[in-house]
Amino acid sequence: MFAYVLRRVLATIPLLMLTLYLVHVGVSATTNPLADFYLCLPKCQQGYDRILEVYNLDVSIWLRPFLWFQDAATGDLGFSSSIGIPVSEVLRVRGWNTAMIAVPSFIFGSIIALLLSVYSARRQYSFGDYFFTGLSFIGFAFPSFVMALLLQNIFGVQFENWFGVKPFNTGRKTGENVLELLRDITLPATSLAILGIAADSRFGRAAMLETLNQDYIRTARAKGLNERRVVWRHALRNALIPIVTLWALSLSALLGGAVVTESIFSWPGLGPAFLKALGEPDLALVLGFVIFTGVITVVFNLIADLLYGILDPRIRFD
Amino acid sequence: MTTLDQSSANALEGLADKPKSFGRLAWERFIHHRLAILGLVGLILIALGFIVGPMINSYPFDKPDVLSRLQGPSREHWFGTDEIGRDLFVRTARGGRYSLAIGLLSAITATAIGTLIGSVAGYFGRAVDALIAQLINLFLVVPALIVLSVFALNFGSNWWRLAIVLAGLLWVRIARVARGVVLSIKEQEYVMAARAAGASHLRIITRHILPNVVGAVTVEITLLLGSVIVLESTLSFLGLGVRPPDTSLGRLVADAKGNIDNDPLRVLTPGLVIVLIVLCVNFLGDGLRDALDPRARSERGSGDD
Repeated sequence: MFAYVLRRVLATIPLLMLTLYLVHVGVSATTNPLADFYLCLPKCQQGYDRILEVYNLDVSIWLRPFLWFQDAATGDLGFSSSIGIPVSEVLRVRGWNTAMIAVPSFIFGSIIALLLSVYSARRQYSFGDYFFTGLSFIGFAFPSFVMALLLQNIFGVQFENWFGVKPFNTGRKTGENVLELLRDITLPATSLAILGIAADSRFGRAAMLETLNQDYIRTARAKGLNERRVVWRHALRNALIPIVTLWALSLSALLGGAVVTESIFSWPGLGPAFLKALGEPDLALVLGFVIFTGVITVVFNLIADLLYGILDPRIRFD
Repeated sequence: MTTLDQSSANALEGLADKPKSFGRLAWERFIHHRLAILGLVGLILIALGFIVGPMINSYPFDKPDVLSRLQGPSREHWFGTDEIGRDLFVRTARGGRYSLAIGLLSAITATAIGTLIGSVAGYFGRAVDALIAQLINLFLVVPALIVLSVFALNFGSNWWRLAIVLAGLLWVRIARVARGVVLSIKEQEYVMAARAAGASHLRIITRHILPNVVGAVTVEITLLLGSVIVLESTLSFLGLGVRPPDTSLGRLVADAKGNIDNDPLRVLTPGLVIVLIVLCVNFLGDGLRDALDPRARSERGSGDD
């Protein structure tokens, strides 16, 4: 199994490098950090030379990514010009903030989605099934920014107009108190969770329906096993196998910064930092962000694959 | 006795009927799928509204009219006006047309590239397949929105270039499906028989394999169309999509968001138009899946297989 993990990791490195290379060339081709210096050139020769050196502008644009790779290999991701601290520091601080809303929304979203899938699959074509499936269809059609703006406006703003109380904050306002923190994260986390539930529960329902129709479920029922054991031990465990992949993908997407949701709620996570870096453009931070999200995606996919083996002992890693 | 004769005669009559073609069966399944018809009709109505509406209620989409700024919905301005007096219905219709056009162009491009590459990988196998499978993995690892933002900002300066950028990332989804279908079909006896009979690769691909890919890929197109429209509106919302003075549904939401506390309706209209379009597309895709790929049906129970 160790060999399997090693091989998977080694296989993704060239892929990730190709992405980083393309992003590096793409961003450098369309920006010129020297633009500000042309007007004042004779006087600010010193600054001009420094920028030239920092960004390696004397090196061909096709070779510049390799200099970045060289630094990155030693753990140096460079300095973020838009935020003013080293890129690794930005990723650490902002990543932690993102995790604060991503993890709760993932946990609650997955549990609710799983319960809904089991319910809908067991009572196929009942009123409840139609109701929840319909809701998830509608939720699935919502772009994240419409959902976030809607929730923000209803619960963060209009709620106060209607009832005179302000239950939630619409962004990161205060710090240390746990209750205050909860108040801040509720809306962004909920808006991410709703989107996740809508996507997961449709998929989960289909997976659950498929396992409930298998022969071994009929056998389990025929031998007199009680229904709860049939559903939760026999059916759910098998239905989980495809669902786990979906979880890995959605958790890595969430941790990679829900760019849009975070910016709408002005949450100081990875998303707004990335948008700022993109607008400047702050090449070092953009690349740092791409490598961060890429690594997270690879790691979570790997974890999903290994979980496969636990859920389904027939799967071998070789 | 007579009843028995009657029924056996009926059965014989049934045998005498011409068997229905796959296309006909699929069509019958599709038109009995109420949600799919709803989605199709909804999409047609929305598209018509975007095209005909601005002819009836005609204002220039980009000329400021300072005298009638920030109006609510009225008979003259169906969706109201923005800060510099541009009619929001006309702008919403124009944005909606862009969303649909970008979605369609990019879904079609992605499908063409994806089907071609996926089929080639699946059919020839070995080194070609290994290379393309790795490429597909690469694109699946890449965080879509992040990379799209970088490339949309730098290369997506007008609507069709934006569509191409989107297609450049999304073709992998089609390629993956096409590759899977081809991999399973090329092992079928009739393909081997065709090869034994001396058919060329081109003939086997076009006559025997592609017709089988079409069903699965058609379903995938509608799913793709939904996500392209969502992605495009998200990019435009972030200011990375269609550039001003032109507009798109995402940009209209972004324009209105500053004033959302006083005028939530202005954010809601373009926002809900996106939701409505995507909902119709997804309904349509669901119906197409049931019609074209009856084995993959999740709805009607799979107890019979």
